[in-house]
Order: sequence, then structure tokens, then C-alpha cells
Amino acid sequence: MKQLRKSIRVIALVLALMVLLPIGYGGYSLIRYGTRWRTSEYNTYLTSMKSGVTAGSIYDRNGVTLASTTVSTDETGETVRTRTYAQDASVRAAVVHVVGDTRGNVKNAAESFMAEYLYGTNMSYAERLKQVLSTGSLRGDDITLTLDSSLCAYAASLFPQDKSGAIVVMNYKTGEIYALQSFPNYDPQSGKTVTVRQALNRATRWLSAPGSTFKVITLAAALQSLPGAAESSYTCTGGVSFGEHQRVVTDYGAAAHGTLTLKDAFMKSCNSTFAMLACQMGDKALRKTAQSFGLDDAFTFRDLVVENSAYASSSAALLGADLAWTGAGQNQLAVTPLHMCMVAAAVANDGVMMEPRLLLRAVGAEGAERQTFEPAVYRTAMDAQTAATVREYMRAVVTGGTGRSAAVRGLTVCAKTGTAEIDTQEKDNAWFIGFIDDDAYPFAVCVAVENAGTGGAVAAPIAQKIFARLAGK
Amino acid sequence: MNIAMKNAKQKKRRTPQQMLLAGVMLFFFTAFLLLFVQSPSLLTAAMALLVPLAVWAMVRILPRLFPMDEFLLTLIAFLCALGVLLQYRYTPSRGLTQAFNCGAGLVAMVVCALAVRHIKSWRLLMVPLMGLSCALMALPFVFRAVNAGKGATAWVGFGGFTIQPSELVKIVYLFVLSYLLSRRRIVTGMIFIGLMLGFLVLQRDLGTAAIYGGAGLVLLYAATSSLLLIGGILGAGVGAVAVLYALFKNSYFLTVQNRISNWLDPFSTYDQLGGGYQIVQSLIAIANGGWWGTGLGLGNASVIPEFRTDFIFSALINEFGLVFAALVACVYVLIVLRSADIALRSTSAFHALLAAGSAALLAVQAFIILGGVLKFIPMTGVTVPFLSYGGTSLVSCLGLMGVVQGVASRNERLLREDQRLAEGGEDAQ
Repeated sequence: MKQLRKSIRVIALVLALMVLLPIGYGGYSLIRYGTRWRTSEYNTYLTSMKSGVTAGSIYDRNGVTLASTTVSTDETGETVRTRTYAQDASVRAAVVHVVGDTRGNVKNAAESFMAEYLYGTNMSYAERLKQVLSTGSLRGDDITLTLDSSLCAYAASLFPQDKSGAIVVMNYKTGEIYALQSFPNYDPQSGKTVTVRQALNRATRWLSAPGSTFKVITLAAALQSLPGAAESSYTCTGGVSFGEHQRVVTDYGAAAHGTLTLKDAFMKSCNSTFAMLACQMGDKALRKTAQSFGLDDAFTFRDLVVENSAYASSSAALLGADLAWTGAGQNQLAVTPLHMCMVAAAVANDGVMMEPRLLLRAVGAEGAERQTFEPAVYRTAMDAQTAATVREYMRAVVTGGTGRSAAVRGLTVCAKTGTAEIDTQEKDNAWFIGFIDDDAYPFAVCVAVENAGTGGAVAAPIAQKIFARLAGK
Repeated sequence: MNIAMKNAKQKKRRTPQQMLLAGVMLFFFTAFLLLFVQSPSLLTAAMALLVPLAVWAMVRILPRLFPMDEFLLTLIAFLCALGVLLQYRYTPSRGLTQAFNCGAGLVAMVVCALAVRHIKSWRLLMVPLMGLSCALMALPFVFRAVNAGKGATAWVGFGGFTIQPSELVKIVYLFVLSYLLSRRRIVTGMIFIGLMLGFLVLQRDLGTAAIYGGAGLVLLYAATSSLLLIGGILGAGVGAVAVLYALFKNSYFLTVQNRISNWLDPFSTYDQLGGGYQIVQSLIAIANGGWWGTGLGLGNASVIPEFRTDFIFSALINEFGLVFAALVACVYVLIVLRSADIALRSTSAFHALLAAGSAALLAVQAFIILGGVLKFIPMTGVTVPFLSYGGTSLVSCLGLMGVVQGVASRNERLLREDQRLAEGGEDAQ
């Protein structure tokens, strides 16, 4: 009996903990994923709740109104709330993928993802009561986004007509997003039917191979894991073949670059060299560096939902041609334009990747600031020394390599271009990532144009104009 | 000191138990009053008075008729009434049915308590009880043969209503296992557990199988105090699952794989048949509720399929918030601890195992369904003890509590007899 009593005491403790464990996990999930679940497109409660509340306004960083609600009364005495968007039609279309629309065409846009503020669901009961008693109705918070709407409209005007793609501009020191655009876009006030193609936010939802812009990561991996890589010389014959299947990594246009230093290879975006580097360092080293840049991570940023990037479709080690093509930015790599912008931003910011932010402040109906939003580090992608070397190489791309058309007189622009081959498309996807290496203009840019041509010819000129405007040149 | 004075003195000081009961009654009075304010009806007004009254009667009157532990009764009454409230809030008629189910459950509780208190010759009953449990467990197979084509095989229909035999067998299982283990028939006990698990796995009722298995392990540990044995069984269990998985990878385990993928990422299987729809809607309901809930009558948990039974805990979090739900979980913990306390006071190994086993069955069931709803473990459809809609579930849960009550009243009686003997002994000297 004594032994039995001792066992029962142990059992009681274990059982008690067992019942409480799921609750503890529930609390953790609520903190970590609560907002995502609440703002899910499948949440019918949100739709019904919105009907009784006047939504707050949305402003850009310069105070331009991007969305506001007017309240009026119709002939039957019913309250009518009308949501209107920015005055300028070009601005409306340029920011639609961040702001969203009343019908929720764009998934996880501010109109739904920031409903907690806009519809005041995070107000205390006391505050609600006070509002209802003093004004007779409920009104949510006004929010100010980090966007610069005139920059957005300007960037949208540069994008080739009838093409799909994305432009992202962010401050690499704070993570604030100045422009986050997807093409084709649409005017939320035109009343026309929105197609799936228009509604997709390509900046955050479009996963595809980044092409040679990924060589920034391969380069960082090589500098960190292969001692003397920067001093060695490489021979390019226009392609490398692997194994018995004779799969070949080719250079763009099968051009043979001859004997190169690592810097030359990066400037000229030599596939053969980066394929060989990837095979030399092995899958483990490349994967580890890619993961330190945020690939394979489950993003849970506070202000926006971003599709998770992937290094490969499984955790099995890549070999031969697969590994070689990954080093050159192809194979199973899947990234979003926003993530590639963050990669460039990390290089600019001494290897520190900031969390992308969209929310600058939220102001309660009575004018009190709800919450202040501090910049936060997302992760450290590489050490500062490696970042400095990558920066130097990216500078060389603009001064004498594939990114010459991004150069702006008087600005230290650093960049990497990419031309991603997609089997099902007629033309390649044009990519560009870059930044201004100047504390006065701490901006990183990513431009991605689908089915358009080479990064140097299509994407870089767009980025060049954005850089010039950012620096006021 | 005369008796009248003594009574007057006692009346002035409220005991914690009385305050707890008053709190519970006030809670349900205000809750139904709130529902009344939202949509006035005579029935709701009546419920605002009747539910607290029923709670009071259950805690104060019932122990006078049959000796029972009042604290445990208060906890049980709270959970049962909460179940009625949650049903009533969405469909009043279901709330009434649930109240009726509670009545049936109370009868089961009293029957079990009396059986434990009075039956002395369990040895004679063991073989019939074992036969009964096997016969009941086999029922669904017979019925499946009759009305073939129905998906769920854990249920048996009689004319208008259906019962789930595995719920009722739980109590018989507890008696048989406690008896075998208290008589040190460890191997027979293990064979019996294996047999029951076999039935449940064949019925594809994995949640209930986990409850039987978990509680069986707990009882084995209590009886043997051997972690080695438990570890060995768990190891063998994993091995058996691995072998079965290899054999039935593409038939039986497809459903299991489905459940696991719905657990890992329910949003990705949202649109598939048998996909993550339920879990996603449950998670959204939980997120809508947040820490403090949307408020009684203001939630929308009814969008979750099965919100009355398997997902009633999501409905609870939706309107009352996670903090309140944590307190409800604490009520389960209190029931477990009280049952363990009663087990510790028991003088025979059989009765100690009965009380501890009831607590184990309840706690494992609460863990499996709370874990499933909160995405801590894969979802398996079992009911939330006392809260889910359904008669069989309430009868079995209250029956288990009856077993604990029986052990408690037996302890009480033996204690009093001891005291009387001790006093008598002193007198003789």
C-alpha cells in the first residue's frame, strides 16, 4: 500500500500537468499566430464585426490619405459607411496590394491584416464604452504606413506595361518598407472585376527562382567556408557537365569567360564559376548560409504575411548538377521579391537583416498613440567582414559588370542582376537587387519582371530611376 | 455549549465550500440573465433561476441522500452546468436535452457510488463484467454488418437514438482492471488492456483507444511502481505501430496520415475533403476569442462543424477567452487532485486504484481533446468531459465520478467505524 500511495502521488502530478500543457501551448500559439489566424480570409467573424464599426483611416508616411471612411445617413435613417481610397488614381493602384480593398481581393492586406487597429478590436472595454457614450458609435484607430505613396506611383509608372512582377523599396537600417508593389495592379475604386492575376501580391506571395541574384548568397557562403576563395582564379569554358547524365550548367548565351578572379566572375555573373564553388563547398555549407539569410524559415513578421522561401524541396542533400544549379540561383530555389530585397538590405546593413515593417504608428480615435513601433532585427545573415566584401563585389557589378545600367552619377550604387530561366516561359524572369551604400540614403531595392528578358537590360534601368529619385538626383 | 448556539456560530462563518457554491450559482445566474437581456424569453428567465437551483440541489441535497464528497460535487456541477449553458446559448432546445442528459448522468453517478460502497464480493462479478465489456465492444461490428456503408463504426443505433459502447465500457474496464491489478494479476491485466485496444483500433476510434491505453498505463504504473515496465510497454507499442504501419500503409494509415497533415498545416489542406477546415475554423474561433473572449452570446463558434461535441472547447474559448478556459482546465486538475486524495485515503488497493483510474481516464481524455483543439497534438474526435453535447459521454464521465464518490463514502464510513471502535475501546477500559 505504501508503494501504491507513492505512485498515486506521482500520477496525480503528471496528470495535472498533462491537462494544463495544451492550455500553455494555446497561449503560446495565440501570441505567435493569433493575428494571422484572426485575419485569415476564412474568418467570417471579422466580416460581420466590421459592419458595426467605423474603420480608421490609413495614411502614408507623409500624411497622404490612402483610405478613409465617411459616415452618412440614407433616407431610411440607416447609417451608411463609405470607404474611399487615395484621391489620385495612380496612387490608388500603386498601393492597392499593401492597403487592400473593401472586398478583400488582396489577401492579408492592411484592410484585413491590421483590422485589430482599424476596427478597434484591441480597444479596452472602458475605452469602447467611453467612445459609444461620447460619440454614439465606435471608430477604430488611424494607422500610418511606412509607404511613400508618391514614390510608389512613380515606381509603378516605370514598370513595363502588360508585364507581371514586383518592386520593393525598403530602408535597410530600420526595415521600413517605402514601396511594395505588385504588377499588374488595379484601381480599387473603378468597380471593375478584379482578376486573380491582379489580386495576387507578387512581392510577398510569388515564389520563384531568383536566378543570379542568389549568387550574393553563394558568394557569402564561399567567402565564409572556402578559405582563399577570393584569391583563387577560375577558368570558365561556358559550361560544366556533371555525372553520367551529362547534365550541364551553362553560362548565359553559352559565353566562355576564360580565366577569372572571383570578383570578375561575380561581376560577369559567371554560372560555371558559381556552380563549381557550390560543389566545392558542398550542400551543407551552402544550405547553412542560405538558411542564415532566412530561407526555409517560417516567417512571422508582425506587419505582413510573406510566403516562406525554400532552399530545396526536401532536406535531402543536393548533389551534382542540382547543387551546381542551386549555386547559380536555379534548381528548386523559391523566394519572393520582398525576401530578395531583404537579402540586399542585409549586405548593405553589415550583415544584419532587419524585420520588414509596414506600420509606422496607430493613433486612437482620441488622438493618443496606441503603440510605438520600434525597428527590430530579424536575423544576422553573415558577419560584417563578409558583408563588406560582398558589398565591394556588388559595387563592381555596377561600375563594370552586368548592372551598369543601374549606375547613378554621384551615388554609390551596389547591385546584382539575375536572369532566371523558367522552362514553361518564352522569356526569362528579369531580377535586380541593389542598394545605395550611403548613410544618407539607406535604401535597398528589388525589381522582378516576369517573362521579360535579362535583369541587366529590363530590371536594372527601373531600379536606376528609383535610386535617382530616392537620392533626389 | 448547547446545540442551538453551536449552529448559530457555524452559520455566521461561511466555509470556503459554501462560498464556492455561491460563486458558481451566481455565475450561472448572471450568464443566463445576460442571455435573457440579449433575447428575452420566458425559458431563459426560468433557466436563470433553475440552473443555479439545480446546482445547489446537486451539491447540498444529493449528499444527504447518498453520502458523497461535496467539494468534488461542486466542481462536477459547475462543469455540467457550463455544458448546459454552452449548448443553450446556441440552441435552447439542445440545452434542455443536455440538462436531461445530466440527469441521466447523475443517476449513473449514484448507481456507481452505491455499487462501490456496498458490493463486497467483486470476485464473483469479474467474469461476467469481462464478458459484458467484450460483448459491448463487439456490438458496433454486429451493427456495421447490419447497416453496412456507414462510415463511423464506434456508434450503435437503437431506433431513435445512438450510443457509443466504448464510452460505457470505460467504467467496466476500470473495475476489471483495478480488480486484476489489485490482485497482482499483472499479465492478465495487460492482456485485457490489449484486447480492449484491439477492439477500438479496429473501430478506428483512435482517440478512445488512446484514453484506454493511457489510463491502462497509469494503472499499471500505480500497481507496479515500475517505470521499466511502462517503458517496455511503450517501446513495444511503438514497435507494433511501426510494423502495422508497414503492413497497412496504404489502407488503415491513410486516415492517420491525413490527420497528421491536418495537424501540421491545416491551412494548406483547408479545401480538401476531410482536410483542415474544422481545425482552421476552430483556430480562428480561438483567435477571435483571444485572452478575454468575445463575450457570452457575441461569438460565432457555430461555424465550426461539430462545435457542440468535439470542438466545444473552442466555442468556450471563443466567448469566454483563453484565461477562463485555463481556469476550466484547472477545474479538471482539481478533480484529478481530489480523486487522488480520495485514493490516498483509501484502505484497499482495489479502491485506491478505482479512484486513481477514474482520474486517469478523465485527465487523459481532457488532454487528448484539449490538445487536439489547441493544435498541440493531432485531432482525434473524443468528447470534452462534462462539456460536450451527448448522453453517453455524460453518463460515462459522471459514472466515473460516481466511482470516486463511492470510494470517498467508503473511506468515510470506515473512518467512522474506526472512531467508534476506538471510542468503544476506551470506554471498555
